[in-house]
Amino acid sequence: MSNGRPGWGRRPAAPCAVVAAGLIALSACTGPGADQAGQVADSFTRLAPDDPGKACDLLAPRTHEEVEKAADKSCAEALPDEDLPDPSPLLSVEVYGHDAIARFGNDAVFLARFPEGWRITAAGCQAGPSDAKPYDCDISGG
Amino acid sequence: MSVRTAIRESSLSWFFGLILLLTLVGQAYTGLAEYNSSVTIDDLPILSIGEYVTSSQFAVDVAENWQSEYLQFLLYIVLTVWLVQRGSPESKQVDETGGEDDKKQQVGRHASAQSPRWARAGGWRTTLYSNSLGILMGLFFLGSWGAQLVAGTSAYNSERLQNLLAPLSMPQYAVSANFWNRTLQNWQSEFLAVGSMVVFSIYLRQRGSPESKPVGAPHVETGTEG
Repeated sequence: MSNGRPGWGRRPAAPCAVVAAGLIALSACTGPGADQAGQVADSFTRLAPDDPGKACDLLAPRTHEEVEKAADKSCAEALPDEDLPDPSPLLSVEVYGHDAIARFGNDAVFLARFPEGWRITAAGCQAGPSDAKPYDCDISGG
Repeated sequence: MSVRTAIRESSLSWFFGLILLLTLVGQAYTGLAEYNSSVTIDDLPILSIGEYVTSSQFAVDVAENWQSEYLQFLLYIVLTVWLVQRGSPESKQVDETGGEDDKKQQVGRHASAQSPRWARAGGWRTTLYSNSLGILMGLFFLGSWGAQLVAGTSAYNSERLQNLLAPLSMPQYAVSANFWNRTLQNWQSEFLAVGSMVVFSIYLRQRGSPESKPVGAPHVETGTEG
Protein backbone atom coordinates (compact mmCIF):
# COMPACT_ATOMS: atom_id res chain seq x y z
CA MET A 1 0.00 0.00 0.00
CA SER A 2 1.02 3.59 -0.33
CA ASN A 3 3.29 5.29 2.13
CA GLY A 4 1.99 7.30 5.02
CA ARG A 5 -1.47 5.76 5.05
CA PRO A 6 -2.94 6.91 8.29
CA GLY A 7 -3.92 4.32 10.85
CA TRP A 8 -5.41 0.96 10.20
CA GLY A 9 -8.59 2.05 8.46
CA ARG A 10 -10.33 -0.81 10.20
CA ARG A 11 -13.10 0.98 12.02
CA PRO A 12 -15.97 2.49 10.04
CA ALA A 13 -16.99 5.97 11.07
CA ALA A 14 -20.24 6.15 13.01
CA PRO A 15 -21.48 9.74 13.04
CA CYS A 16 -25.09 8.86 13.84
CA ALA A 17 -24.02 6.75 16.79
CA VAL A 18 -21.91 9.58 18.19
CA VAL A 19 -24.85 11.97 17.93
CA ALA A 20 -27.11 9.36 19.51
CA ALA A 21 -24.71 8.91 22.42
CA GLY A 22 -24.66 12.66 22.95
CA LEU A 23 -28.43 12.85 22.97
CA ILE A 24 -28.72 9.92 25.35
CA ALA A 25 -26.21 11.60 27.61
CA LEU A 26 -28.09 14.88 27.56
CA SER A 27 -31.47 13.31 28.18
CA ALA A 28 -30.09 11.39 31.14
CA CYS A 29 -28.88 14.39 33.07
CA THR A 30 -31.34 17.18 32.67
CA GLY A 31 -33.56 15.89 35.41
CA PRO A 32 -36.77 14.49 33.95
CA GLY A 33 -39.06 13.71 36.83
CA ALA A 34 -37.82 16.55 39.03
CA ASP A 35 -41.39 17.81 39.56
CA GLN A 36 -42.66 14.43 40.71
CA ALA A 37 -39.62 13.87 42.93
CA GLY A 38 -40.15 17.30 44.50
CA GLN A 39 -43.85 16.56 45.11
CA VAL A 40 -43.10 13.26 46.84
CA ALA A 41 -40.37 14.84 48.96
CA ASP A 42 -42.64 17.75 49.88
CA SER A 43 -45.52 15.41 50.73
CA PHE A 44 -43.26 13.35 52.96
CA THR A 45 -41.96 16.29 54.97
CA ARG A 46 -45.53 17.61 55.47
CA LEU A 47 -47.06 14.22 56.29
CA ALA A 48 -44.35 13.00 58.66
CA PRO A 49 -45.46 15.02 61.74
CA ASP A 50 -49.24 14.60 61.34
CA ASP A 51 -49.83 11.41 59.39
CA PRO A 52 -46.73 9.22 59.78
CA GLY A 53 -48.56 6.18 58.38
CA LYS A 54 -48.98 7.87 55.02
CA ALA A 55 -45.47 9.28 55.20
CA CYS A 56 -44.13 5.76 55.75
CA ASP A 57 -45.82 4.68 52.51
CA LEU A 58 -43.47 7.09 50.71
CA LEU A 59 -40.31 5.49 52.09
CA ALA A 60 -38.13 3.20 49.98
CA PRO A 61 -38.28 -0.45 51.15
CA ARG A 62 -34.82 -0.46 52.77
CA THR A 63 -35.42 2.85 54.55
CA HIS A 64 -38.84 1.69 55.78
CA GLU A 65 -37.22 -1.46 57.12
CA GLU A 66 -34.39 0.43 58.82
CA VAL A 67 -36.81 2.80 60.58
CA GLU A 68 -38.75 -0.15 62.00
CA LYS A 69 -35.63 -2.11 62.86
CA ALA A 70 -33.92 0.75 64.69
CA ALA A 71 -36.98 1.50 66.85
CA ASP A 72 -38.30 -2.05 67.08
CA LYS A 73 -41.81 -0.85 66.33
CA SER A 74 -43.94 -0.11 63.30
CA CYS A 75 -42.85 2.66 60.96
CA ALA A 76 -45.93 4.75 61.76
CA GLU A 77 -45.05 4.57 65.45
CA ALA A 78 -41.33 5.06 64.98
CA LEU A 79 -41.33 7.99 62.54
CA PRO A 80 -42.56 10.68 65.00
CA ASP A 81 -39.66 9.77 67.32
CA GLU A 82 -37.09 10.53 64.63
CA ASP A 83 -37.10 14.28 65.29
CA LEU A 84 -37.26 15.19 61.64
CA PRO A 85 -36.84 18.94 61.02
CA ASP A 86 -40.01 21.00 60.71
CA PRO A 87 -41.43 21.26 57.19
CA SER A 88 -39.85 24.09 55.23
CA PRO A 89 -40.05 25.46 51.70
CA LEU A 90 -38.72 23.32 48.86
CA LEU A 91 -35.72 25.12 47.38
CA SER A 92 -34.47 22.86 44.60
CA VAL A 93 -34.58 19.36 43.14
CA GLU A 94 -31.80 17.70 41.18
CA VAL A 95 -32.39 14.42 39.33
CA TYR A 96 -29.64 12.18 37.99
CA GLY A 97 -30.87 8.98 36.38
CA HIS A 98 -33.08 7.24 38.93
CA ASP A 99 -31.79 9.23 41.89
CA ALA A 100 -32.64 12.68 43.20
CA ILE A 101 -32.01 15.13 46.00
CA ALA A 102 -34.63 17.64 47.16
CA ARG A 103 -33.30 20.53 49.20
CA PHE A 104 -35.57 22.28 51.70
CA GLY A 105 -34.94 25.28 53.90
CA ASN A 106 -34.24 23.07 56.93
CA ASP A 107 -32.88 19.86 55.46
CA ALA A 108 -32.53 17.68 52.38
CA VAL A 109 -34.28 14.50 51.25
CA PHE A 110 -32.82 11.79 48.98
CA LEU A 111 -35.04 9.83 46.62
CA ALA A 112 -34.91 6.92 44.17
CA ARG A 113 -37.35 6.18 41.37
CA PHE A 114 -39.05 2.80 41.75
CA PRO A 115 -41.59 1.26 39.35
CA GLU A 116 -44.35 2.62 41.62
CA GLY A 117 -42.84 6.12 41.67
CA TRP A 118 -40.33 8.22 43.61
CA ARG A 119 -39.63 6.99 47.13
CA ILE A 120 -37.62 8.54 49.98
CA THR A 121 -34.30 6.82 50.64
CA ALA A 122 -33.13 9.28 53.30
CA ALA A 123 -34.68 12.28 55.06
CA GLY A 124 -33.80 14.90 57.63
CA CYS A 125 -30.36 15.22 56.05
CA GLN A 126 -27.82 17.91 56.81
CA ALA A 127 -24.84 18.50 54.50
CA GLY A 128 -21.50 17.07 55.59
CA PRO A 129 -18.50 19.28 56.37
CA SER A 130 -17.39 19.01 52.72
CA ASP A 131 -18.59 17.58 49.40
CA ALA A 132 -16.45 14.52 50.10
CA LYS A 133 -18.47 13.67 53.20
CA PRO A 134 -22.01 12.27 53.06
CA TYR A 135 -25.07 14.03 54.41
CA ASP A 136 -25.93 13.24 58.01
CA CYS A 137 -29.51 11.92 57.90
CA ASP A 138 -32.11 11.25 60.62
CA ILE A 139 -33.45 8.30 58.62
CA SER A 140 -31.80 6.39 55.79
CA GLY A 141 -31.53 2.94 54.31
CA GLY A 142 -28.62 1.99 56.54
CA MET B 1 -22.79 -5.47 -9.26
CA SER B 2 -24.47 -8.24 -7.28
CA VAL B 3 -25.23 -7.88 -3.59
CA ARG B 4 -22.79 -10.66 -2.88
CA THR B 5 -20.02 -8.88 -4.74
CA ALA B 6 -20.86 -5.59 -3.04
CA ILE B 7 -20.65 -7.22 0.38
CA ARG B 8 -17.41 -9.03 -0.46
CA GLU B 9 -15.77 -5.86 -1.72
CA SER B 10 -16.64 -4.10 1.53
CA SER B 11 -16.24 -7.12 3.78
CA LEU B 12 -13.95 -5.27 6.18
CA SER B 13 -16.51 -2.52 6.80
CA TRP B 14 -19.40 -4.99 7.07
CA PHE B 15 -17.50 -7.21 9.48
CA PHE B 16 -16.58 -4.39 11.83
CA GLY B 17 -20.05 -2.88 11.60
CA LEU B 18 -21.56 -6.21 12.57
CA ILE B 19 -19.23 -6.95 15.47
CA LEU B 20 -19.72 -3.38 16.67
CA LEU B 21 -23.45 -4.04 16.98
CA LEU B 22 -22.95 -7.45 18.57
CA THR B 23 -20.50 -6.14 21.14
CA LEU B 24 -22.72 -3.15 21.93
CA VAL B 25 -25.59 -5.56 22.63
CA GLY B 26 -23.27 -7.67 24.78
CA GLN B 27 -22.07 -4.58 26.64
CA ALA B 28 -25.67 -3.49 27.23
CA TYR B 29 -26.73 -6.80 28.78
CA THR B 30 -23.60 -7.34 30.85
CA GLY B 31 -23.65 -3.70 31.99
CA LEU B 32 -27.31 -4.07 32.97
CA ALA B 33 -26.54 -7.22 34.95
CA GLU B 34 -23.69 -5.50 36.78
CA TYR B 35 -25.74 -2.37 37.52
CA ASN B 36 -28.76 -4.31 38.76
CA SER B 37 -26.54 -6.51 40.88
CA SER B 38 -25.03 -3.45 42.59
CA VAL B 39 -28.36 -1.71 43.32
CA THR B 40 -30.07 -4.89 44.47
CA ILE B 41 -27.69 -4.99 47.46
CA ASP B 42 -29.26 -1.73 48.70
CA ASP B 43 -32.82 -2.61 47.66
CA LEU B 44 -32.72 0.22 45.12
CA PRO B 45 -34.74 -0.04 41.89
CA ILE B 46 -33.36 -2.23 39.12
CA LEU B 47 -33.50 -1.14 35.47
CA SER B 48 -34.98 -2.79 32.38
CA ILE B 49 -32.78 -3.18 29.31
CA GLY B 50 -34.60 -0.25 27.67
CA GLU B 51 -34.01 1.97 30.69
CA TYR B 52 -30.37 0.88 30.89
CA VAL B 53 -29.44 1.60 27.25
CA THR B 54 -30.91 5.10 27.59
CA SER B 55 -29.22 5.68 30.94
CA SER B 56 -26.21 7.85 31.62
CA GLN B 57 -24.41 4.78 33.01
CA PHE B 58 -24.49 3.07 29.60
CA ALA B 59 -23.82 6.30 27.70
CA VAL B 60 -20.69 7.13 29.67
CA ASP B 61 -19.30 3.61 29.29
CA VAL B 62 -19.80 3.79 25.51
CA ALA B 63 -18.60 7.36 25.08
CA GLU B 64 -15.41 6.96 27.11
CA ASN B 65 -14.26 4.19 24.80
CA TRP B 66 -15.31 5.93 21.61
CA GLN B 67 -13.51 9.17 22.43
CA SER B 68 -10.24 7.35 23.02
CA GLU B 69 -10.55 5.44 19.75
CA TYR B 70 -11.15 8.62 17.80
CA LEU B 71 -8.31 10.35 19.64
CA GLN B 72 -6.05 7.46 18.67
CA PHE B 73 -6.93 7.84 15.00
CA LEU B 74 -6.79 11.63 15.12
CA LEU B 75 -3.28 11.53 16.55
CA TYR B 76 -2.14 8.79 14.25
CA ILE B 77 -3.51 10.45 11.14
CA VAL B 78 -2.07 13.86 11.97
CA LEU B 79 1.21 12.93 13.66
CA THR B 80 2.28 10.55 10.88
CA VAL B 81 2.46 13.61 8.62
CA TRP B 82 5.52 14.73 10.56
CA LEU B 83 6.68 11.87 12.77
CA VAL B 84 8.26 8.77 11.27
CA GLN B 85 9.55 5.39 12.35
CA ARG B 86 12.31 3.85 10.27
CA GLY B 87 11.38 0.30 9.34
CA SER B 88 7.67 0.58 10.07
CA PRO B 89 5.09 -0.05 7.35
CA GLU B 90 2.87 2.47 9.16
CA SER B 91 5.38 5.27 8.59
CA LYS B 92 6.22 7.28 5.51
CA GLN B 93 9.84 7.51 4.40
CA VAL B 94 11.95 9.30 6.98
CA ASP B 95 12.92 12.11 4.57
CA GLU B 96 9.36 12.75 3.38
CA THR B 97 7.89 14.42 6.45
CA GLY B 98 5.34 17.19 6.04
CA GLY B 99 2.32 17.78 3.82
CA GLU B 100 4.19 16.94 0.60
CA ASP B 101 3.91 18.79 -2.68
CA ASP B 102 0.79 19.15 -4.82
CA LYS B 103 2.10 16.78 -7.46
CA LYS B 104 2.53 13.91 -5.04
CA GLN B 105 -0.79 14.69 -3.38
CA GLN B 106 -2.55 14.96 -6.77
CA VAL B 107 -4.26 18.23 -6.00
CA GLY B 108 -5.00 21.34 -8.07
CA ARG B 109 -3.62 21.05 -11.58
CA HIS B 110 -2.04 17.70 -10.68
CA ALA B 111 -5.43 16.14 -10.00
CA SER B 112 -6.67 13.50 -12.40
CA ALA B 113 -10.12 13.11 -13.92
CA GLN B 114 -10.92 10.53 -11.24
CA SER B 115 -9.75 12.73 -8.36
CA PRO B 116 -12.39 13.94 -5.89
CA ARG B 117 -13.90 17.24 -7.06
CA TRP B 118 -12.60 19.25 -4.11
CA ALA B 119 -9.06 17.98 -4.76
CA ARG B 120 -9.26 19.75 -8.11
CA ALA B 121 -11.16 22.83 -6.92
CA GLY B 122 -8.26 24.68 -5.29
CA GLY B 123 -8.59 27.33 -2.56
CA TRP B 124 -10.34 26.66 0.74
CA ARG B 125 -12.16 23.62 -0.60
CA THR B 126 -8.96 21.79 -1.44
CA THR B 127 -7.42 22.88 1.88
CA LEU B 128 -10.47 21.63 3.76
CA TYR B 129 -10.65 18.38 1.81
CA SER B 130 -6.90 17.88 2.27
CA ASN B 131 -7.46 17.76 6.03
CA SER B 132 -10.97 16.31 6.12
CA LEU B 133 -10.08 12.94 7.62
CA GLY B 134 -8.22 14.47 10.54
CA ILE B 135 -10.93 17.10 11.04
CA LEU B 136 -13.69 14.49 11.12
CA MET B 137 -11.79 12.30 13.58
CA GLY B 138 -11.17 15.40 15.69
CA LEU B 139 -14.86 16.28 15.70
CA PHE B 140 -15.83 12.71 16.60
CA PHE B 141 -13.26 12.78 19.39
CA LEU B 142 -14.52 16.05 20.82
CA GLY B 143 -18.16 14.98 20.41
CA SER B 144 -17.72 11.66 22.17
CA TRP B 145 -15.49 13.18 24.87
CA GLY B 146 -18.17 15.80 25.45
CA ALA B 147 -20.79 13.04 25.64
CA GLN B 148 -18.58 11.28 28.19
CA LEU B 149 -18.48 14.46 30.27
CA VAL B 150 -22.23 15.02 30.15
CA ALA B 151 -23.20 11.39 30.73
CA GLY B 152 -20.42 10.92 33.26
CA THR B 153 -21.67 13.84 35.34
CA SER B 154 -25.11 12.27 35.51
CA ALA B 155 -23.91 8.71 36.15
CA TYR B 156 -21.42 9.81 38.80
CA ASN B 157 -23.99 11.99 40.53
CA SER B 158 -26.47 9.13 40.53
CA GLU B 159 -23.89 7.04 42.40
CA ARG B 160 -23.13 9.92 44.74
CA LEU B 161 -26.79 10.37 45.61
CA GLN B 162 -27.08 6.66 46.40
CA ASN B 163 -24.25 7.23 48.89
CA LEU B 164 -25.89 10.39 50.33
CA LEU B 165 -23.21 12.64 48.82
CA ALA B 166 -23.96 16.01 47.25
CA PRO B 167 -23.98 15.98 43.43
CA LEU B 168 -21.22 17.78 41.52
CA SER B 169 -21.70 20.45 38.88
CA MET B 170 -20.42 19.65 35.39
CA PRO B 171 -17.32 21.89 35.79
CA GLN B 172 -16.59 20.15 39.11
CA TYR B 173 -16.95 16.77 37.44
CA ALA B 174 -14.70 17.88 34.55
CA VAL B 175 -11.81 18.22 37.00
CA SER B 176 -12.75 15.21 39.13
CA ALA B 177 -10.66 12.08 39.57
CA ASN B 178 -13.51 9.96 38.16
CA PHE B 179 -13.62 11.84 34.84
CA TRP B 180 -9.86 11.84 34.36
CA ASN B 181 -9.41 8.28 35.52
CA ARG B 182 -12.00 7.10 33.00
CA THR B 183 -10.31 9.22 30.33
CA LEU B 184 -6.69 8.34 31.00
CA GLN B 185 -7.22 4.61 31.41
CA ASN B 186 -8.63 4.58 27.90
CA TRP B 187 -5.99 6.86 26.44
CA GLN B 188 -3.06 4.86 27.77
CA SER B 189 -4.38 1.65 26.21
CA GLU B 190 -4.79 3.34 22.83
CA PHE B 191 -1.30 4.81 22.95
CA LEU B 192 0.10 1.40 23.90
CA ALA B 193 -1.69 -0.26 20.98
CA VAL B 194 -0.47 2.28 18.43
CA GLY B 195 3.08 2.31 19.76
CA SER B 196 3.21 -1.49 19.78
CA MET B 197 1.94 -1.69 16.22
CA VAL B 198 4.50 0.83 14.99
CA VAL B 199 7.43 -0.92 16.64
CA PHE B 200 6.47 -4.60 16.26
CA SER B 201 5.69 -4.14 12.57
CA ILE B 202 9.35 -3.27 12.00
CA TYR B 203 10.46 -6.79 12.89
CA LEU B 204 7.40 -9.03 12.66
CA ARG B 205 5.23 -9.94 9.67
CA GLN B 206 1.70 -11.06 8.92
CA ARG B 207 1.68 -12.63 5.51
CA GLY B 208 -0.97 -11.14 3.25
CA SER B 209 -1.90 -8.27 5.55
CA PRO B 210 -1.64 -4.72 4.21
CA GLU B 211 -0.72 -3.69 7.73
CA SER B 212 2.50 -5.70 7.50
CA LYS B 213 5.52 -5.48 5.29
CA PRO B 214 5.99 -8.41 2.90
CA VAL B 215 7.47 -11.35 4.81
CA GLY B 216 10.81 -11.04 3.07
CA ALA B 217 11.10 -7.26 3.31
CA PRO B 218 14.17 -6.07 5.24
CA HIS B 219 13.65 -4.69 8.74
CA VAL B 220 15.04 -1.29 7.67
CA GLU B 221 12.51 -0.91 4.86
CA THR B 222 10.06 1.82 5.74
CA GLY B 223 6.54 2.44 4.49
CA THR B 224 6.06 -0.66 2.37
CA GLU B 225 2.97 -2.69 3.03
CA GLY B 226 2.30 -6.15 1.74
